[in-house]
Amino acid sequence: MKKIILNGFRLFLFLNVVLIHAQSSISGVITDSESGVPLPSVNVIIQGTSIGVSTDFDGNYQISASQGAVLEISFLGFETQLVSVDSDQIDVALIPSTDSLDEIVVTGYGAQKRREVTGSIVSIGAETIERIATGSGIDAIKGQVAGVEISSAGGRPGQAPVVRIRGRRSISASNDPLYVVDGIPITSGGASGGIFDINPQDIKSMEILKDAAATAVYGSRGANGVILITTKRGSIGETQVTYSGYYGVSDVTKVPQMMNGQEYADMRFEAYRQDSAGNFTYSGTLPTDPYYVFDGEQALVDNYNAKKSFDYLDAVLSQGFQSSHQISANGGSEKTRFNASVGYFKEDGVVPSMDFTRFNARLNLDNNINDTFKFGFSLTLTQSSQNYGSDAILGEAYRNIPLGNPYDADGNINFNTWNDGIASNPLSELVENAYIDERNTTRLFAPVYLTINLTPELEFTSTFGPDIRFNRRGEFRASATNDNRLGPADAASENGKEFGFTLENLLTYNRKVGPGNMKFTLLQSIQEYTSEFMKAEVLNLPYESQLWYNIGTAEVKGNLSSGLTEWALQSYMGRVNYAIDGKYLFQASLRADGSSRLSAENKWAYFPGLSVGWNLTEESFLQNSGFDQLKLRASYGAVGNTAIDPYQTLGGLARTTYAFGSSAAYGFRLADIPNADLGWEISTTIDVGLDYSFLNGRISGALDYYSTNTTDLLLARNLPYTSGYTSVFQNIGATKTSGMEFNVNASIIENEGGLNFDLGFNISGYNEEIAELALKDANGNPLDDTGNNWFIGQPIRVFYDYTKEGIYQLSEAASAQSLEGKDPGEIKLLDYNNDGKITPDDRSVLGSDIPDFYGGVNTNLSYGKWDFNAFLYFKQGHFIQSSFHTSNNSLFGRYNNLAVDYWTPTNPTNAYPRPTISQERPTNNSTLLLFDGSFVKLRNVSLGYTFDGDQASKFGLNSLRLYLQGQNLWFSSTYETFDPEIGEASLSNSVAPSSSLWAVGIKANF
Amino acid sequence: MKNNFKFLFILATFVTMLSCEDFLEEDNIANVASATYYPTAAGLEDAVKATYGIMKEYYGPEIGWTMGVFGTDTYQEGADGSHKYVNRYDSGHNSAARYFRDTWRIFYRGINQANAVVNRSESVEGVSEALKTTRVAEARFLRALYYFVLTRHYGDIHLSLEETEGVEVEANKTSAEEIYKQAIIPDLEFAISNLPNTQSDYGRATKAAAEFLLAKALMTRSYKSFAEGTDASRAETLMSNVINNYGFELQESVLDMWSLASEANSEFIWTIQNNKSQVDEGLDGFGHRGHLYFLMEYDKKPGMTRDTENGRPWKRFRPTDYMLSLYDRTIDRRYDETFKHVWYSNNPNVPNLKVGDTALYIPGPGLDKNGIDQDTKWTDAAKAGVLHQVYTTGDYNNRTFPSLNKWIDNTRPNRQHTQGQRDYVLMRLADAYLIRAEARLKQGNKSDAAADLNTVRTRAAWDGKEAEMQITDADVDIYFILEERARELLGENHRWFDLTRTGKLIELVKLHNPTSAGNIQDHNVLRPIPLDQIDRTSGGYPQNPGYN
Repeated sequence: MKKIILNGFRLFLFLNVVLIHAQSSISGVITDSESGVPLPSVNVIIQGTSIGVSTDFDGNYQISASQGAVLEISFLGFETQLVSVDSDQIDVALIPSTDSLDEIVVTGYGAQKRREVTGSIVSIGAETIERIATGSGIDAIKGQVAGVEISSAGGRPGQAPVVRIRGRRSISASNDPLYVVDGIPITSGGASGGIFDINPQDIKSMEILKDAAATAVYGSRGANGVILITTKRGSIGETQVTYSGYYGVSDVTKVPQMMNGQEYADMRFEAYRQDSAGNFTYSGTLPTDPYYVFDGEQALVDNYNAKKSFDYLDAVLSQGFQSSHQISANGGSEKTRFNASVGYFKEDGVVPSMDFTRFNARLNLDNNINDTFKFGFSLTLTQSSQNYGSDAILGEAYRNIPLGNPYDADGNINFNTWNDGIASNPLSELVENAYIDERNTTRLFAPVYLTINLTPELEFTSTFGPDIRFNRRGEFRASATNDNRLGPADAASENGKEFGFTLENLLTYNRKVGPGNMKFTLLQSIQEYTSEFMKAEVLNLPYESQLWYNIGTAEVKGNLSSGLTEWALQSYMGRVNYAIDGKYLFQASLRADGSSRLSAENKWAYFPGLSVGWNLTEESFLQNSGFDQLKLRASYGAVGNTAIDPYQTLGGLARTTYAFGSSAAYGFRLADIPNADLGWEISTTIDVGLDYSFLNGRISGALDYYSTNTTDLLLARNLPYTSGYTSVFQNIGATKTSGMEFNVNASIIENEGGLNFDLGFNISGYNEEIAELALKDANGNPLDDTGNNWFIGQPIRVFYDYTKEGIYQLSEAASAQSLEGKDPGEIKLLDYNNDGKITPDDRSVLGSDIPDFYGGVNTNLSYGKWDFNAFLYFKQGHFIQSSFHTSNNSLFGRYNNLAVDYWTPTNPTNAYPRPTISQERPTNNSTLLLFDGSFVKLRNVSLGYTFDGDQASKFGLNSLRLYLQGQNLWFSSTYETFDPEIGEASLSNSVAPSSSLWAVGIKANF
Repeated sequence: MKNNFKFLFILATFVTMLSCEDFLEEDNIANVASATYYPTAAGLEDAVKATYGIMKEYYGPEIGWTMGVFGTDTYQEGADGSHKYVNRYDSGHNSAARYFRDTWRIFYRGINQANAVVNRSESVEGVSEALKTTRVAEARFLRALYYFVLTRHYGDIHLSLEETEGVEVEANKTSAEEIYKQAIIPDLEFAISNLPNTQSDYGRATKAAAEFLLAKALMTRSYKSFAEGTDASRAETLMSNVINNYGFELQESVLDMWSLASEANSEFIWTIQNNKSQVDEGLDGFGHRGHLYFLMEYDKKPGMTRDTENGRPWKRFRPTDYMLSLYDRTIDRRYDETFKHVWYSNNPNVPNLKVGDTALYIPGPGLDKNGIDQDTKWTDAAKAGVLHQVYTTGDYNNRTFPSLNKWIDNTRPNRQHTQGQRDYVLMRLADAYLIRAEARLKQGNKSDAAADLNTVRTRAAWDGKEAEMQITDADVDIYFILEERARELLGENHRWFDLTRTGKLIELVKLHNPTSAGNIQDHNVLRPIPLDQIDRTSGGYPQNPGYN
């Protein structure tokens, strides 16, 4: 590889020399018309020829051209100028382009003008990200990008959302996209945790690479799409200081409706229905003595008789707060430019004790050492702290019965609100320092680059990107918590360190070749990651106030654990871009990746990408057609997924515990089947797209169709237990994903200084199906894998179960008994295959979590200094799993229950089964879990007013904007229990409820 | 062009930095792999230890207790718990039920581990042949035990005597007859021939343990359609070896036997080991959890709160009225020595009741030691006349019932700690006598059967009541033996196997277990094959008869 680069380099030098013809020599300086700063690397081409040069660092160029020739001077982000040669010295001031088609789009290892992009890439600018009051840049673009599904994983502050670009491809490996920050693929903090370390106010742009031709340059990590995050850099000029901040209050949107005292008592009486022999049965009679029904617990009887009812959810939930402050400074000289910021973000959740705090500092610096050398860095320093909170707060608030006594006569918290061995008062979890699960992170992420401009055409950049993260988790559970139930306190302390680095050498060469511009990119890269942790757990703390800070004093030492994980990736990539007259566009790339995680024979794989574009509007037949752009794109690429844990190929052993007498006898048992064949999971995508823009850019957008085939899936395949194992990782099977994406942005009313109205809309839909699995029939046709809930032709995650047909009614007592051994009042299953029996064959695929379509509608309205924005997003036609309908719906009278319409002999409903004290939960209650998850949400509404010029200067400012913002104010769904937005999890007790937010904000420029 | 040289120099430096040959080699420092570790001497030892370790997932936690205690004639359900389907034989008693799945999974994992030891031992170097043979015999002993557990629960099952290599999605359903013939019996015969009488590591398999297990396996087979004529006589001989050859002896008293101070006593033939520091420190996540399940809800009663001394009451298992009726407390001390009578106040929340005063009293069923009927003595008026609570037969319910105190563990570090330090007693001498009695009865030898029963009963008699405890030949039948087993081995987790072995499960549950009587059906003598096994096996796996 070394040779190839050197040889290539020599070739470029050669071309460079021979292409300089000896005619009359023209020279000059190219500058930016706004700032007057000389521009390096500007293309100066003799029109109609392939002869051209680029400016040096001081904007100087020199070219041989005959008098009367026309020089075409073009540069990314500026309007192209044509100048006739009429003297030996031609200086040109380029005008920054306002045409959105000339905007620069970061594409991964380079940048392109929007009009020349051939891959499916969406660029989101700072104004879009800054607009939403949130702690996470990813959260800010939710619903705004076609083909990108971002779902909240619950309302817990600091919780990363689930991001899926164009659905899923992998069954067992990760479906999370790759994040690249300032050119460096991030390694620490898990798939998306690292993104929370970046202040959204620092982000200049986010580019989402969707198709394989765009992501192929990232090879083995491109399969799930790539999100490029570019932070703000310094610019030449006077130092600008900006303050932005907001403060908001939040309220819970929706929580499950539990029974009140009377409803609970009714259910409990029903649960105690019994016959004369004392059997709890539907055919018995309701008991009449509350003292009996409440197990002789006088307090419950008293509260029942007094018609008291306590609402625990109301007691534990409160208002939340969110605030953010940031000060940034931006400026610099020709020599050195900087962007620096400090920020603070704090969110208190609607469940008290759950919060997230982040401090961050950034310094981005670029320095021109001389004409040839330039260096710079982007330093991110973040300290964040998440108080995770106790799951028992909500779990116990759902569970505690409304007839218990949360407080004693003196107003102190009763730990047990009624006589139950497992339940505890949720309020006791909220006592200060009762339950702490504090997760602190210190992150240092600092890519440093050195650029060498050997010739105006040839540029070499070496980047070193260390990514260091310290994780500290402290856990403390006091005596009066659900975990310890008045037993002694316990604690744990965990420290971890992640260190990843990336080292990349990038060589680019720009050249006019034949009728067009050619750009070569060569990359050599290594990446390495090491993670280690150490955790100590103790029991029986002598005094609680120490939390986890003096665990040596604990009477009982608990588990000690530590671990080390390492992986490495080595890569080479070459790419060529060729554009003829901006009309015919071409890009080809090839990346070779070697991964330490795979077996020796399978470490290396090659990932090609190919794309073409045709700007129809450059053709004569579409001149004056009203279109500014009509670009057809087509691409093909293969990308990989290596997101499996290291060491999977080796066949690991797991420790077992035993003792012989008083001596320990730890052993190591077989845990993983060694799989020396483990290789790459490859996704091949074709994408056909159309970018359009007409009416002077007032209407623009894109339409894409794509189809992805993923083969050699990294599959954690469940095995029959008789093998002695439960699962194995294999490259087996295939999936297909295909879909359509459409977006349009329309400037409906355009009136400089007056009324403006913009409307944006995007919609996407996709199909996901399993094409092949491990099991085959005698003819080699793929078979369903029922044990894993994988079915040929069905999406990756489906809900497979019996169907609840209704509730067995009194008249069906005989068939209830003969078919299922059940009684009236129990769940009646559908005889799906109509064989007159209920057997496991009556299970079927009931639905999946794939929506029919999803997207967003965005409106901006401005009038003079007022601006208004509203943003809706929607997801339609998918199923969600609601664990509330099993865990809080056990219908046996012991705990409080969802307020559901349950069956009784006098209420022959088909909705929910009969409560009875003789069951822990209704048989087949998993059939109650599934719901249509479709929703429409009002994501954001904001109203702003901008002071500028004279108005602002009255406050001593350059500009000032004030705004009022509402988030998540409204949503609509047929699922009535909770906010239906959830990633790929089940809605359960441990999901914190979502909240709505009202915030006021300010942005001031000094 | 002067920069070119600078550039070339720097480029060469950077490029060279990235050309490191072994950069992609994976070195698993933190963990070990089977291919490299098992062939070593330490690896063999650790593979054998792991074969022991796997059974802790069943023997000790709730699953093992539930599978052995529930759904029998001696215990019915208490108030709490998630696995009542095991007791009830209701619609939840199906192939998707968790404990039926987990039992299957745990023991097949153990079998594969034992197979690995047996298969791989040959290639291990640096270990003497004698030691290797002993270790293989231990692994085969354990494999026999695991197959024995599985076939008693599930009947016809998958048989493999080879370690699984590669991805295995096939499974066979081999008749129980072949499981005995190909696995259990030859493994135990090998173990008997090759295991020493004693092991320097207490808790390793011994010859006596293998003989005990084979005797029990043969006795179990002796009731089957595929029984062999010599099963009962071989079982008798093997148990006679156990009783006579190794110096085991019955403990003086039941109290001594269960004392935590003398765990390794001479009555215990083979126990599953739990270690105090491991269970306290959480290094052992399983431990002996029997202390949780048999206790009533004392901690919610007046004058009481939960503490380590009295235990953590999960109130899973409540003795049936039938069970409580089996004791003649005037001569038999087993009820009084294994059930708790008095709880002393540890919570001054009741007026006039001081800490240390009697707070709760359960006088127990029938006539007491002194011949007084406690149920008639404690009239409502009498109960009202004392400061403490008194619970007699009519007061028992799912939360309040006589509590078996055999497994109480007051050495746990705190009152919430679930892992107890007791060894789990799988084989003890009284059981050997009772199995031998059963083997003798099976051969028509009632008088020797009566002698064995009397040996056990003599120890169980109050001092001076030994003569009254003696039974005669005429008393001996299978029902009597089952009753004696109930009295002697209550809560020791043999009951479901005892009833299925002797073919009396359905009959006795219908008579004596009020919560299961209406549901139990003939096919419930086997557990359902787990749905996961059926779903994951290529071509499916046959379900047991009677289950959907």
